[in-house]
Amino acid sequence: MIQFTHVHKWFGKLHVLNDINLTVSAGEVAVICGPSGSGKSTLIRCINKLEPIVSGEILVDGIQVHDKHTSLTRLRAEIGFVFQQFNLYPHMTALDNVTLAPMKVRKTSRKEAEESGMILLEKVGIQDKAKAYPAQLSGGQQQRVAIARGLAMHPKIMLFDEPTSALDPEMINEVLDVMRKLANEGMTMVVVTHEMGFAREVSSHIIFMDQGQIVEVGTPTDFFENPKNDRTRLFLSKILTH
Amino acid sequence: MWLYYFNNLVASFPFFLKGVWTTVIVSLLSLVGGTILGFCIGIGRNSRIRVLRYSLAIYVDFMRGTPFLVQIFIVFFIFPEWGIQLEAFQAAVFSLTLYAGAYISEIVAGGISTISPGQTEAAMSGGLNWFQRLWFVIMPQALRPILPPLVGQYVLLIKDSSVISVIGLTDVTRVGWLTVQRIPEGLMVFGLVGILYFSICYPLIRLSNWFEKRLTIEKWTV
Repeated sequence: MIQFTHVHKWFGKLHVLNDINLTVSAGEVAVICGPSGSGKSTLIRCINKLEPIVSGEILVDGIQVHDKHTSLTRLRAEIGFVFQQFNLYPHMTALDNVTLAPMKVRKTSRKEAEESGMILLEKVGIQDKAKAYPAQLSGGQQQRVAIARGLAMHPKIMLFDEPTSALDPEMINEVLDVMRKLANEGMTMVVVTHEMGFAREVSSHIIFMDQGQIVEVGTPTDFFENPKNDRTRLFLSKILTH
Repeated sequence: MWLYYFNNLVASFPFFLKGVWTTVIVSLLSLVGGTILGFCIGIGRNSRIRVLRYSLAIYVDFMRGTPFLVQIFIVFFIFPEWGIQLEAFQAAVFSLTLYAGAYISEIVAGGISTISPGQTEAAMSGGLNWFQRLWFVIMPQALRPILPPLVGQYVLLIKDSSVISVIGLTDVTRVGWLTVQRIPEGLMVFGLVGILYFSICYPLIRLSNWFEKRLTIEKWTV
């Protein structure tokens, strides 16, 4: 479903993605973790071309992401993206946030879009806030609306860039619950996160990155119990002691 | 003697009103044109096409860096040498529109720059094209920081329009000059000119203040 082949990216002199080779199959949940500056956010943002790459190839469902002839509209309709800062449209209600893309990109009628939108808002547990504006919602509620918005185009893949990092601790679980539900329904997901409990429970494999390179990839069991690389061990020791 | 001049001034009032009319018409046409132009340029300054960005930047810098008087002279006196003959009225509206467009574009570009890039990224991720992003996501939010200074700019431009008097258009300022030759009481005559400009501009100033208050829509403010 998602395939990185020898992907490189530089920001000026910084080699932010260094020979990335990665495969995520349909239905899998890949978790990417690592210290800040390791390139994990950049990596996930290359999947829907929010960031360009310098060399290498990224294929999403057979489509070449970085080919200039690729229709970005069609590509992005198959990929939902959830941001750390939510990025909800503040001048629109929760329901309008969810229905905007289907109505404008897929040309769905307002009635149909709102019906589907309400089903999605129900799925994330927030249907009674459909007419509320983002400013009237808590962080956890906003992020759940953002997830519903990401699902609005019925994408094949959902990408999450540190979805809970900007949330107060009490709200983290409500968002993780929604993500667990999605994973159990078979959605292909790539999640950049520090939530190791979630990673252990839900992921098919965990990818550890450091300084632009993929250092280690393993199943949750292998990763947490038998890390092969010293850098992985170091990272785990720091992150698992609280 | 003063009373004689005052009565004379009162009798000339219709002439002043004609001047007001000219000022209002030229300003209105130029501000509408300038606003449309300003929005196009302001949006274009963020384009991915480098040539467009650079040429717009040069245009704006030039229009803002030279006096309006010079610009209107070029249009009225120099264009005919290149084969473009415009009447005074056309030259005035044309110049003022280009001049206004440059200043308004800065306000528009500034307003757009206040919108966090995350909004554009979220809209891109939803599959919206650049026009849809601009129309549905960016502009509605950008209008908030744009409208109050925009109306303020309108006031400045109306006052700048007094320059059109030098190419012979009978706006309020020119009526003042012509009148003061008959009624040599400068303070009285130009006092009236000032009051007339004020009465045109004051409603706009109030509108700008009202916008500033009303546009802080609580339910949008995260």
